[in-house]
Amino acid sequence: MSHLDDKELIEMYNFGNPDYAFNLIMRKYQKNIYWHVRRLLIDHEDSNDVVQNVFLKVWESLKNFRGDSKLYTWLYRIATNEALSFLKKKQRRFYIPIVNIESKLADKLESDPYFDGNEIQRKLQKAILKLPEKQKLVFNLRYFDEMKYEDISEITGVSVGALKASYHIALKKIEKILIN
Amino acid sequence: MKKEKPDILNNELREHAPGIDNISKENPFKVPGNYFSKLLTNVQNIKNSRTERSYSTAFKYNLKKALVCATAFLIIIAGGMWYFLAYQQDNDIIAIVEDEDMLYESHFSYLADYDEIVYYEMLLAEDLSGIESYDIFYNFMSEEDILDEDPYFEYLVDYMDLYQYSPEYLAGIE
Repeated sequence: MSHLDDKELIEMYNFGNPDYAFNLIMRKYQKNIYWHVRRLLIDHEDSNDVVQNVFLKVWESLKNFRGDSKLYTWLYRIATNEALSFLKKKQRRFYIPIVNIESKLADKLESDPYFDGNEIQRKLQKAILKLPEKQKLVFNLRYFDEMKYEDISEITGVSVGALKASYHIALKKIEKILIN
Repeated sequence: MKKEKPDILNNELREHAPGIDNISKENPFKVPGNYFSKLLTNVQNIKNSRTERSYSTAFKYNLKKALVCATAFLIIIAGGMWYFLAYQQDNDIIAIVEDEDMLYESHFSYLADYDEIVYYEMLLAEDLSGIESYDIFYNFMSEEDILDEDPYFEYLVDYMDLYQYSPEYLAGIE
């Protein structure tokens, strides 16, 4: 794990050794990015494809990174866009309406050899899949990644006030689904 | 990456969904063995192969790019001419309103149906500037409304901050 902070990594990329800097960035954030994508796509193979594309895009775009946002919120934004684009492409390719995409992902949870949770964790994941896209994103970033609202706002482009409302609504909906 | 303070997260859970407070946050998903140690190598290999391929296909790529730009330019010119001619012919337009503005206003009146007295009190309040959009909607909607998966409510929560309408404008007296 890199002992350099994000600012130093960007400086190394711009003025020193871009390949080495990219490798350090990837080592530092690959797990966070992978699990964020995996929670959206469920399937490991799909997530692997998307994560590889994410870091290839990061490699191509790092020279244009201005530092207006934090490095990790920028990475998460790329990962979120890639994951959601992947889902939309899959939906269009197979003519699957959005409702069926959720049931397809829920079915994957049942048969996924790389899912090792207990019954309540499976139910929780299925409940999360039922949330609208924005609420699902906010819920994952807040509940699992334990991110601050300000960082989630940088990733999603939604105001902190709206994010709080979305997260609290998502919590209530999930609780209702699990109780019923 | 700085995380939120645990007590803030726990208080949020206890306040809004105590029923899921005791669910383990342990990651239920797994990956194949040594996946993360191989991921960097895989990405590097793809990156290097793309760099090699790019030199031999640069000419084709640039030609394709030029054709795409030329086509896009022609489409924009044609679209602009169509737009200009269409609006020149139609003299009966009284007003042009952005779609999202109309949608927002119609949804705000929809919200008023929930509690008209509260809505108008809110509109005529002297100072709404300190109230966050979150508080306006969360405090004036019932729990059933929130759980009903109302798409209008979700649209308003997401876009409220973009539309800084004054209470007088919304009440139709500005």
